[in-house]
Formats: sequence, structure tokens, C-alpha cells
Amino acid sequence: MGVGVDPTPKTGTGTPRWVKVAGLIALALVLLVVIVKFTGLGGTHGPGRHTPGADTAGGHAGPPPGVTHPQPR
Amino acid sequence: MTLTPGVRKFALTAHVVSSVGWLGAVAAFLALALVGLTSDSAQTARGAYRVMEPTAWLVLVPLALASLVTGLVQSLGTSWGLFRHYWVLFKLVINVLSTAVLVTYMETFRLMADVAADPTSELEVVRNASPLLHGVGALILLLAATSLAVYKPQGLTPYGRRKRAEQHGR
Repeated sequence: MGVGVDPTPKTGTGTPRWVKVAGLIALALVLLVVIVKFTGLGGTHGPGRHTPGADTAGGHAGPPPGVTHPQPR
Repeated sequence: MTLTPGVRKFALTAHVVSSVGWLGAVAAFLALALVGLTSDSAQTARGAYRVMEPTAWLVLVPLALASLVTGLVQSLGTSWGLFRHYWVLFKLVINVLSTAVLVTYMETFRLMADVAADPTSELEVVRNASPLLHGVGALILLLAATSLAVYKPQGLTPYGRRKRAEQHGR
């Protein structure tokens, strides 16, 4: 993927540090997404949240109190 | 399977063009998302959300799929392999994840376009921060993938070490 010439990797054993750091960052991001999703902090996820009347608990765009709006066609 | 030098160069060109093109298309979508959120003109804001879906189908999805397919050809058609080097593996995960989220997000694009096309929808309902948030996430991931392709940081996976040991043992 994005490869120019044949590789000539140097000898090395074990997992490189950059892989560990990147793995930890990825794990933290996955945990963050899971926490946001299951605690409801992000509101209802998925396409439904983008339609009027969807749950806007997460602070997503929605009408201000007292403003009514029609359902999409 | 090893590609001939000519085919390898062609496949590499196709992979770079589709991958960098995807990155540029995401940048253009970020601009559209900003216009949709901040434009003083209601018509312009609604227009931004209405053009996102067809543009995504015509540009983002084809580039994402082309990047994935040409990347698979590149890795499987050369001695880099798909699972031997961590940087290739990371790029594969980023590519598959980003493409999957994009394809899933197409339904959201459609719904936002429907709401924007409805003249009875309030403008504040039409405006939506979701494309901006998803666009920033995509930009970060694709920049990371591009950096991996350029720097090619060292590191063999356990599978790669085993394969190399087998080759050296012959």
C-alpha cells in the first residue's frame, strides 16, 4: 500500500515503540467512542439523529425550546 | 504473486492518485460543512447539505474504494505483503474503517439532504455539525495513512517475522 520498491527491512525483534503508542491511542479512541455511545453523552447516534424530532440530548443541532418544526417528507 | 515493474508502477500511481484524491475530497467536504454551518445565506446553507450526498456518491465513495483496491493490489503484488509490516497493516485498518464509516454515513447524507430540501424545515434544523466532525476525523485518519506510506516506519509483525525466517531458512 503506497509501495515503491521492494522492502529491505532491518533486523528487529519485538513490537516497535511507535506501534505500541499508536495502538494505545487507537484503544483510547475506541474506548471514548464506546463510552460516548453507551452513556448517551453523544445523543442518539446513526442517521436518525439528523432528522428533526430525533433525540438531541447530546447537544446536536435541534430546534430551541418552544420552536416546532415539521417532520421531513 | 509479484507484479512486473511496469504494472507495479502503474498500480502505485493509481494508489497514490486515489488516496491523495480522497484526502483532497475530504478537505472539500470540510469546506462544504463549514459553509453549511456558518453561511448567512439560507439558500447557500441548504445547498451545501443538498450537494453533499451526490458528491459523496460520485467522488468520495469511488475514491475510497479505488484506494482500498489499489492498496490491496500493491501490497499483495509486492514482497511487502498485507500482514507482514505494521505500517501496511495500520494503513489497511485505516482504509477499511474509513470506507466502512463512509458507506454507512451515506444514509445520513441522504437524510440531511432531504431535510435541507424541505422548505418548511427551520434553518437551524438543517444546519448540522455532524459532517464537520466526521470530516475532521476522516482527515486525521487519512493524513496518518499518508504519513505511514511516506515514512514506512520499521517493524515486522509476528507473521512477517515468521515468513522472513522461513525465507532465510531456505
